[in-house]
Amino acid sequence: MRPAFSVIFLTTLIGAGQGMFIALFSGRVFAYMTGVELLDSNWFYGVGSGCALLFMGAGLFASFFHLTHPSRGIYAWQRWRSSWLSREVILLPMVIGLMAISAMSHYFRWDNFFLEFSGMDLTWILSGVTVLLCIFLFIATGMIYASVRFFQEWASPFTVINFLLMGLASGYTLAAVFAHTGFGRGYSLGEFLLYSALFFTILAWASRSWSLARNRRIQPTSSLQSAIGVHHGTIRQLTRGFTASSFNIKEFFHGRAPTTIIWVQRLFIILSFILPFTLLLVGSWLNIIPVIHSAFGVQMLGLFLERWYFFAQAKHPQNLYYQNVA
Amino acid sequence: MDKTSKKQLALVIDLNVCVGCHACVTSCKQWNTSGWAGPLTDVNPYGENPSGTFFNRVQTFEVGTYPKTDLIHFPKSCLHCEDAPCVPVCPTGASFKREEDGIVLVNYDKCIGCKYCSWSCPYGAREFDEGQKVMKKCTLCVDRIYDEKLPEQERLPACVMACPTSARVFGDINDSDSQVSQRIREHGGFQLMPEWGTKPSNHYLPRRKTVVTIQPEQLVRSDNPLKIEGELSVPGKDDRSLDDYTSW
Repeated sequence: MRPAFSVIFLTTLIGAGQGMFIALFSGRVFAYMTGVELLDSNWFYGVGSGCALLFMGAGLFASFFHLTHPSRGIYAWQRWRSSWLSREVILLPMVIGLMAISAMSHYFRWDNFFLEFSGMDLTWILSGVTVLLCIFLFIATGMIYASVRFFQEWASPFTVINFLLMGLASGYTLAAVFAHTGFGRGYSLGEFLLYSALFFTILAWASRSWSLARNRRIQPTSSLQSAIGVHHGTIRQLTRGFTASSFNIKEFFHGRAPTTIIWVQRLFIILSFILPFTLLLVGSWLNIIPVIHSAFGVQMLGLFLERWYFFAQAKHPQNLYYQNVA
Repeated sequence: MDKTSKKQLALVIDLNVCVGCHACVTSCKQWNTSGWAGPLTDVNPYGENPSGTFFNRVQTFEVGTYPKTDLIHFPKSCLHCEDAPCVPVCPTGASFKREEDGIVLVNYDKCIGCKYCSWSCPYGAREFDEGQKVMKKCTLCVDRIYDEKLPEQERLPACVMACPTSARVFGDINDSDSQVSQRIREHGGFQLMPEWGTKPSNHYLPRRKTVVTIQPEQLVRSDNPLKIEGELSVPGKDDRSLDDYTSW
């Protein structure tokens, strides 16, 4: 599969955005339950949600480059009953809209609006609903890939779990970085967010490694025998029928050397999980803030590589028909 | 009418008689680039790295190890699956399967070019057109087969019209009396990649070898009853034959 940069950026950036929003919400729950006081909680949650929103917006922007007719995207909700892509198209603007309202509700202090039946102020309700939709969006994004049964590397619950865990890992890292800036407004939540980031980074590492091990054991469902219906042990393609290029060759082959794929895999494991984990831990032990800050940049770079690898390693059965030029 | 007895138009392709001439490829390209489904854009057709959109390809496979090999020419186009996996994944509904005849089509005006349908087709039957920037695929020449301006015998897909060996037959596979159903039934018609459960409508007929077994006895007529009874002996090589005694 040829990795498309638009989709790489879309999935990683909105993953970090959703993850950060969930991280801030969980931080708020943590503060509420433990009685931790923030210097200026409205500023912290408002600007933090705005920061998550920037990532969502950047992801949405990247997604338009994947479509050749983005203006027709208004029709894209129509197959919501059967298409996970359609469901994502519905959920993404909903999450962005709610996140924006939620950010504003904090920043402009709408917390004096209480809802009678729940006894909770509006900011809780808004951000709670947004968190729920963020989780649905994680599932929809993962299922876009997991539901394509022809990519056996993707057709597994790991795809959804990994998207969720890697989004949370990068989101919590971003939230921890944010808590360590913000002119001290989020410091009291810094430790909680940082240790959560460590936890999700480890969890994502374990889950991704598990899925890599699973993918190594995949036996292709289709063979050249079933592809052309000839039951002979030795079949080879003499020609795919044309010497020029075509969509089938450009879309489904990454065109890189096998060694490149192996190196990208090693690199993304280090950059997405091992290095950010170390940086966060060392930064917090030695209390060196720039080290904590660098963890997020490194992790995002790693996750871009991870997503590139995710696409590149996926093999489509149609490739059986395109094995030889002439 | 229950679901299984719905009309399902399809092609039956006989691998036993396909000679790999690519006539179906070129006639498909010509008809479809000029008509309703077109243009089938070619990028850089005469320059470096040419690339183009085709609805139909003929591929060639070698089966066995030289010298015991068999050559299979394999025409490949959209199979118009009965359970087409490319249709439900389309977010806009641009991809659809016609109720009335089971043809899978793309509404170009609704396609957003996300290419998700091509990921969901195990056969690689869909191709993205670089000119119109939409996904395209075989239409079973829907603009020919119902065209009443054409003589009735020409209301067939362009590939079927072009095939010099009649390797391609077109018809309704859910009508048990149709020629396609008969061929599938009587010549061992099969589907491609049945393991995915897509129920392709297009069927293929396998290579069939005609083998005649001749026993040595059949060559020397050892069962000649006269010889067995010893009434006539086999004449020697230099003995005179009937021709030596008669003249015409």
